[in-house]
Amino acid sequence: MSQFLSQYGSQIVTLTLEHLWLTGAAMLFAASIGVPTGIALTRRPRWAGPVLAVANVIQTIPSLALFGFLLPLPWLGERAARIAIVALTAYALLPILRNTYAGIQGIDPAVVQVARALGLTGRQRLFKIELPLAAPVILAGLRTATVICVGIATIAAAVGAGGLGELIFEGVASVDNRLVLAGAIPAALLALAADGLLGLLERWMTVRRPQ
Amino acid sequence: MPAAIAFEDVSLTLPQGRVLLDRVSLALEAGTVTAILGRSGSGKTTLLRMVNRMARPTAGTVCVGGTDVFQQDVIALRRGIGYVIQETGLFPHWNIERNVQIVPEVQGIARPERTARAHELLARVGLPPESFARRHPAELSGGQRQRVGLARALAADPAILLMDEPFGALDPLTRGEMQDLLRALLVQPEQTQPHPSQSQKTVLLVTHDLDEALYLADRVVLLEQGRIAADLPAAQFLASPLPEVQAYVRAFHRGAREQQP
Repeated sequence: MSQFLSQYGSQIVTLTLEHLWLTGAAMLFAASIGVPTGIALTRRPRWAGPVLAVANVIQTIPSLALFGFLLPLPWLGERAARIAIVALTAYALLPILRNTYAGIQGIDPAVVQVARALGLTGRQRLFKIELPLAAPVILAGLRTATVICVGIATIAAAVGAGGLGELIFEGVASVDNRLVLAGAIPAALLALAADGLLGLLERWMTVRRPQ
Repeated sequence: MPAAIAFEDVSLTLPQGRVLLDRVSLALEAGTVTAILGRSGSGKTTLLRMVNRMARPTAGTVCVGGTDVFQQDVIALRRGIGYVIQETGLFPHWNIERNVQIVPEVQGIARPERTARAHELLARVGLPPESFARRHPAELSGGQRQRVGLARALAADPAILLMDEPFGALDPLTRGEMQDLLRALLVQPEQTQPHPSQSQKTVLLVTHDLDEALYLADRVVLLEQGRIAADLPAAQFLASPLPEVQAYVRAFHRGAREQQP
């Protein structure tokens, strides 16, 4: 065990950091696309159906296939990490989009009506009323997306993007379960940690304002 | 002086052809209380919501202060009109104090000033600020929430107050208390006002409660299927021979008649 760790320890650390970077970058992109798009859909509910359907379809593409599809694209193909981040962003989009939309749509209509009738501007309504009230639901979406991202990021190793998947693929190829676990356990811990942290944040936001 | 609120031949026809309002004309004098009475679906809420542009007529104009509301800046228009609805629509994530001062807050009034105003109003609606200011809406009873809704509507000292079934969800005793409170608020000029006459508000009250309309309003307008069926001073309403009025009065005083031998 200790021999295994001394041999692979530094590699596990590097790959964990790589994994974090892939997931973190993808989540950043997905949140900065998904949250504003989700808000925009609440202003144009007619578009919500089609847009959410597209995000849904993306979600159903097997991840290995999506990584493969992206390989031949000129700008992406040069750097494997870019492919991985684009693909992970696509997967993280649906939960963020859907929860942002549902979180705002789910606010008591009387509250929104009064906010309009009292003369709040669209921006004031969004930042003072809608986003704070939808925050727990939006956070729950970010949480789901993060866990999905950490999991799917292990597949990124298949296109040479690095991350903890490398150890898993290596372990599978050389029939060495220790290597598989050396990749899988840190990946699982990452997912649990991210889930726990965001869960705390979500609870803090809900407790602070009794409903 | 132009009427505070004027409806001129206002109609609203839905795209499917259903007529919600049919050529309604009505002029409300400043400082008066007008009740719009009518059954569900008579168009009374829609009429009220046209004043602050929450609904748009398909024909005719609605004027506030002599100017078509659609010629006015919608944000400024709405901030100058208090709005109270049955569901209160209090902001659940804010405490009572902040709920009350929402309009002064978005108007950019300094915090100490607007907080002082909020506390004063809470006291006026019977919620001592020292025990209520920091509570959240979920911690209040229905009647207390409605008091907060009333305080919020008055926070920017609007000249016009729109009330849509404000006490409809309350039990009869609480409703009575709220009606007394509202009457007191409308009659007594505010102490802090330099010109008491300015706080005379024009009130448009939508209700299906005949007693409430007669108790609070100077004038009662009966709306039926989008048309004005009667438009009378409150004092003359019960005695009106109009069949629509008599039908409404009969439906309301049924219990009292049953008791008589």
